[in-house]
Amino acid sequence: MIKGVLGALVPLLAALAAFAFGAMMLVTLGASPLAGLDAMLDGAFGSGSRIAATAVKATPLILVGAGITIAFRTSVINIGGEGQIIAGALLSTVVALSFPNLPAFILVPLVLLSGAVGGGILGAVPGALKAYASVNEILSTIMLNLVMVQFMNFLLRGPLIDPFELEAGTRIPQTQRLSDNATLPTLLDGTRLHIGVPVAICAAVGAYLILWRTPTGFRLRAVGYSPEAARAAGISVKRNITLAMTLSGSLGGIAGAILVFGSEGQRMVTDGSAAGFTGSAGFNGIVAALFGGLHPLWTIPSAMLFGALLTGATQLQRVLQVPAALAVALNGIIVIFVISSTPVRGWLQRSLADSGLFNRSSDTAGMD
Amino acid sequence: MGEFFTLSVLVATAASAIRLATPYLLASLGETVGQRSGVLNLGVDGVMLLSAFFSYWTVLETGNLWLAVLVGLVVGLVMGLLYGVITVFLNATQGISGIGIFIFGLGLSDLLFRQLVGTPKPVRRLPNVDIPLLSDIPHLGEALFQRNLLTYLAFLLVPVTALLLTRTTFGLNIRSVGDNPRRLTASVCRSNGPGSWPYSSATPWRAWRERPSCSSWGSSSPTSHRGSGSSPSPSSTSAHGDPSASWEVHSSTAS
Repeated sequence: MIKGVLGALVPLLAALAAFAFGAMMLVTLGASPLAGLDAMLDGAFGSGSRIAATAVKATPLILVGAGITIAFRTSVINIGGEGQIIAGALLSTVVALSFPNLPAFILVPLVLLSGAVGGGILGAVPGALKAYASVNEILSTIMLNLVMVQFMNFLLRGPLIDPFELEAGTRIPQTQRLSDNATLPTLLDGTRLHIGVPVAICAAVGAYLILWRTPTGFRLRAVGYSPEAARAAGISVKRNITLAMTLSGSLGGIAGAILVFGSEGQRMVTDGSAAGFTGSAGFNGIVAALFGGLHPLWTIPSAMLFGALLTGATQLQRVLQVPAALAVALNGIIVIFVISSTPVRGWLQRSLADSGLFNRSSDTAGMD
Repeated sequence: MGEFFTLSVLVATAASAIRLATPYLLASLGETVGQRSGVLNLGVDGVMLLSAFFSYWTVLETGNLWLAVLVGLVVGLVMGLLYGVITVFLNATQGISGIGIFIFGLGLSDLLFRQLVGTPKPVRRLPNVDIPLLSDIPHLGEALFQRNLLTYLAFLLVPVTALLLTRTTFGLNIRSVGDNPRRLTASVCRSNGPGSWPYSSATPWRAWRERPSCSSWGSSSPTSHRGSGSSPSPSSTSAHGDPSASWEVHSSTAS
């Protein structure tokens, strides 16, 4: 009982503290926090198309966040979201360029699937390296992020570059305009709300079902809780670590495909950096997943919150001339506060149990 | 292609390689010390961005290059302290809090740059200092000994760090904390490594009150890793059966 209340309360308080910090930053920058909040809410939810923009912004965060949940629940720290997004985007772009004339009802699922395959491959590599060669997955996924950025730059400047860019001599690193048949259909006219949003929500629900309603998910979580116990129970730890990273990566890959085929330009563009293409979704997805308590379903509202933060920040920039980078800094603060609050929760529980007020509470009895 | 391997090109390449190596070298030396103590800091990039901004801004405002270096150092110090508090005292997961620091540094430096500077303005660079005699060596001197002071400092810090880690008590403490935080908590030293004393007592304030100390060898009260208030027991070290651990406990007097 206490555990449940604290479990929900402490991260929320941590987030509130982070937002208070953000308000302090606004004051330092010479803007009123209330006006800032007003501008952000207006920018994120002010009209139908803005809500749609928020949902679209949240889509990659939901997908990456759900993938992160699977990895973290298996005790694999996947920080390669950026690379996996790019891998998925690249493979789906290649597929769309290869089969531009397929009908939309085949091509759209095909590009999403190839995105999943691309991201899955990039997730499987560090997963297998960790499982079979004890390579630290934090480092290998971060390194692969850098590798994929340069690979993307290479492909978009060379083999995949728009032939018109070569003719005109402008050499903007982007692909040619992708087939209309591959573009994600919009759900509401006049907004950017495309089919990627329900796809992401379904993927998050699917991640929940896999983790808590299938034997596969049981094995993954068992490995996450205690690899030794899982091994003793006859579960292959190595195979499940690889599987978790593959699933995690493939969800990031779908996010990459959605970023390409849900974009207004209908092409893949690079400005040379990872964030230029992904909008740091690979990192912000981790934030969303942590904030959602590493539960795929809670990742959906928490990703919406961060999507709102991102779209709200653009409005903040327009109205109050506060740089939109505030949202990024705020994201970092939220990670720090929420992650630091987890042990605080444990201490609070134990000190409450120590105080003797809640001695009959069964869930704290074993902790001290 | 044959044009490429002329002497002047090679010298210029070596010179810029050394110039570009400086930030990598400094960052990795810091990370080495951190990782030897068992702390993986993934936030280095964010710390570098913030330090870079504040140094740049200091130069813009005051024109004093060495003050800027000092400011960069202080910002790095503060961020390192912050990261230490988060991961060690609050016992947060290292990898993720590092990412948090990275995102925070990325966002804050971007924000401050746009707010305080706007468009990039050129600033003075650290002057190159020619080392007498050595810089006169043809080609080699030009590549190696006509750099700025920070580059020399970075390369000088390599042996200094190595000596610090392997030849001083401080370095010994760092390495032993990194190798096995729990055993060190159980024997003599205040390790504060990942997963050490926050588990030893129920609450952080109580753990802090009861913390063993490293300041003088053997004058601490060792606590076992569970339960508080256990009696000092130097034999707890030898119980681990590791002969190399015998240096850890000299004597045990109640503090």
